[in-house]
Amino acid sequence: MVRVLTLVALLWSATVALAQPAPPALTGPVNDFAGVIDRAAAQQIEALIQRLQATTGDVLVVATVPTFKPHADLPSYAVQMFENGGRGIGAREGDGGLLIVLAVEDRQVRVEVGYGLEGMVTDGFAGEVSRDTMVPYFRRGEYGEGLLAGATRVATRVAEARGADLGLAPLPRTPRPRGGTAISPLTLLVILFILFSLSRGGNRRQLGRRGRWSSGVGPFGPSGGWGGGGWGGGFGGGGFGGGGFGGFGGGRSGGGGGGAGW
Amino acid sequence: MRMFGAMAIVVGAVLSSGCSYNTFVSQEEAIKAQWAQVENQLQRRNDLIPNLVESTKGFAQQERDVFGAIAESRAKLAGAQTPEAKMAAANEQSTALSRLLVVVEAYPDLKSNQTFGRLMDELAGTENRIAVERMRYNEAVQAYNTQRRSFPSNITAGLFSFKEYQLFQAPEAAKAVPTVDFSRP
Repeated sequence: MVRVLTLVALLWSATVALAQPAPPALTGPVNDFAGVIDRAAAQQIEALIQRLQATTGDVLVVATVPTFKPHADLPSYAVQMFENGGRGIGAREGDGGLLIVLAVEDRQVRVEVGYGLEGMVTDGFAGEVSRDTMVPYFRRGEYGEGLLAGATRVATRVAEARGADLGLAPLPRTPRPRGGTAISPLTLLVILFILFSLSRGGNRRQLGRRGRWSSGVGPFGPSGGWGGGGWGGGFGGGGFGGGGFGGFGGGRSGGGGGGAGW
Repeated sequence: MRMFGAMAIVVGAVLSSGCSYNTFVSQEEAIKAQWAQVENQLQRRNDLIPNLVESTKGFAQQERDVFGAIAESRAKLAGAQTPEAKMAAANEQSTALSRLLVVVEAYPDLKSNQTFGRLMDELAGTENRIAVERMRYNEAVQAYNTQRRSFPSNITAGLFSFKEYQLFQAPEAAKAVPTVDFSRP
């Protein structure tokens, strides 16, 4: 439905004006400008992106924004975000970049594909991943998980097309709308709790990285700030924050890709 | 002394405009390269249309004039020689395709067809590519045309008759977005 709407809008769209404010600058593999990706998912997405980059040299970047407005539509916004003010995603040589951008309030997602990967991540595939893999999560507000699932499918496709293996566990299946066969959140919580209890004496910081304990509930209440502040700061400054992530080599995209809304 | 000063100004102007000769050449080449990109995408869309029409026709046979308009725009684009003619034909095609998309709304069977869904993805991607390459073409043309009209490089432009390039305008009807009922699934 939204696809048709976007398409009609595109067919009629005038030349994109340059006067619009540029999208926020991308600085790392995960750019959560809308603040909707939980830490566990963000870490997994980062690990995936690193692995893809190490395996094939292609660069995948994930971004969330509250809205693409005042730009005309998400596709044109995504192209400009991909350009990133000259520091485009992927190497200039080969244009092997990918951008998954989610506009939360507009309820739209798009996979923007660099010139060099258009043959591997076709428009049809990008549209399918958006529609069938990511949107079911987004409908339930699980943005981080949806982006992780989408990024995993896209990265796997690129690796396969390059004859490489990312060595990932089997792909997370698209969940059923209501309580599928997967482990329920409660079971997960119990398992995590047991794990935590077992390693209580261990390094707290590390545990904090693994689980989603930052809310300060239950046994972790007293320990206060370590869950949020300490780790968040450490992450922003280290790892990818500055020059660590060499993913912005001036790669370009030409509007290829696909998306969906919900 | 005054004459020397005037001569210095003229020589200076010619020299500095002489430098811009190479700028013109590279800008013109950039325009040509970018136009080739636009043409690639127009061709891509042209190649996509037979499939689209084929998968749509079975469901919406009575929409003969829409298919007629699309076929006509396709032939026109294939026959266009100059960039200007191609731009006009491409815009006509955009209009015809958006009419088809509006028509398709009335056929739920078609919309739920998976092949058609994929084709729509491909068409949307191609439309988007055309929009992007058109924008980049226009940027290149604008940079060149501005240089061409600015002093003192306009002297070089006149001397070596660098011609003005035309912007690729989107369809004039762009302001009148067709109304479609999107409330139905």
